[in-house]
Amino acid sequence: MKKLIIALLTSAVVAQGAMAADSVDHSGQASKHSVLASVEGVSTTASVASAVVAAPVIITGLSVVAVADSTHQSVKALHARHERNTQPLTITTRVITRDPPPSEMVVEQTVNH
Amino acid sequence: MRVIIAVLLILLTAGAQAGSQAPSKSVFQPEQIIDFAKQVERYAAAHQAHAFIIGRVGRPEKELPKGIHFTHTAVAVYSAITLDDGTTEYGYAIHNLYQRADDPGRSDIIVDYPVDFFWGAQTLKAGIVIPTPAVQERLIALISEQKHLGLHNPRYSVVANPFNSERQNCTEFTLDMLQAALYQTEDKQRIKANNAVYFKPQRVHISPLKLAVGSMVTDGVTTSDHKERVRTATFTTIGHYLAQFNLSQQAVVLYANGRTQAI
Repeated sequence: MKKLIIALLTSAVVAQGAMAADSVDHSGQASKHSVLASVEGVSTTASVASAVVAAPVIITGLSVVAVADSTHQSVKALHARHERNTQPLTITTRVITRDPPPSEMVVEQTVNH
Repeated sequence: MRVIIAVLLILLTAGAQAGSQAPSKSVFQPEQIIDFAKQVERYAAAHQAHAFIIGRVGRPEKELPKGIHFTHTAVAVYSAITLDDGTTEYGYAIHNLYQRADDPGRSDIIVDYPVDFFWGAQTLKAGIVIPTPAVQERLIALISEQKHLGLHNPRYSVVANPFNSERQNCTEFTLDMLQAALYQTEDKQRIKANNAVYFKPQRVHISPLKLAVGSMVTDGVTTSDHKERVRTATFTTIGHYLAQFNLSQQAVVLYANGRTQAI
């Protein structure tokens, strides 16, 4: 019986490590936002900002078009764009992150007051 | 005997927290994560990817079961991102199914950004599968119309069976998005039927005893949706699926030193 209990517990310990997924959301971590804020403070290049909303866009030639729905001409133009244009898409140099969790906002407000 | 059990229980508790809770500290310096996240974005942008499949390694690689190389998978979409200061910047928004840290048997659909995505990475390497432009078009259309939200099943299992709708994990959600886009359907039954016919999942090489014990200690692990061997969708099997049907134009692992390795 003792051996069985030890075997089961040992299996559980091993199983935790082997199966543990990493689909857990790291985005709203208070620590992450604090660390990023500190990076912005000491770095001359890192500009950190929180995203409010993201909308898929298609770059067709020289224009950037928001995609509203699947019937939009911009979606249909994507294939053609790939064939005629080999320029990289523009990527911002700013560091974009999700908003911090509500708990951190309360702490920040308390400090600020 | 009591000491041994006590030690194992402490280890078990610690293990459970490590697996199901977001880590409080990143393994890497924030500058390293920022640089790597931008490197991934620039790589995708250089290949004109408006939508691509992205994978990360969020567990120590030595702990990963045989055949599993990435622990989290999602879809990245080139977007106009409105910031809190009112400005708009261009980059990738990542559409994820995330397991809840405080309720591991449930999940949410969350949009985050590359630095968020790689914050918990244990290894600075990214899986990148860029579908053909035609597939990208359909994925973008699906997400733009928010139809992907209807594919979400909040009942989470890390080893979810992609052939039925009982449970879902991040990779199965990604696969379902792809299938919905390819077949232009929101019919879950049709999506699961096509998964069963055309998609080859990864067999999970973990002993049945470990899986059974795992299901006892966390709601995020169950084999109740499997009838035979436990098989689940992975980043790599999605890459193989797209390649098999000539639906991908690029499939690589990108490392922090800039090296790429074909999948």
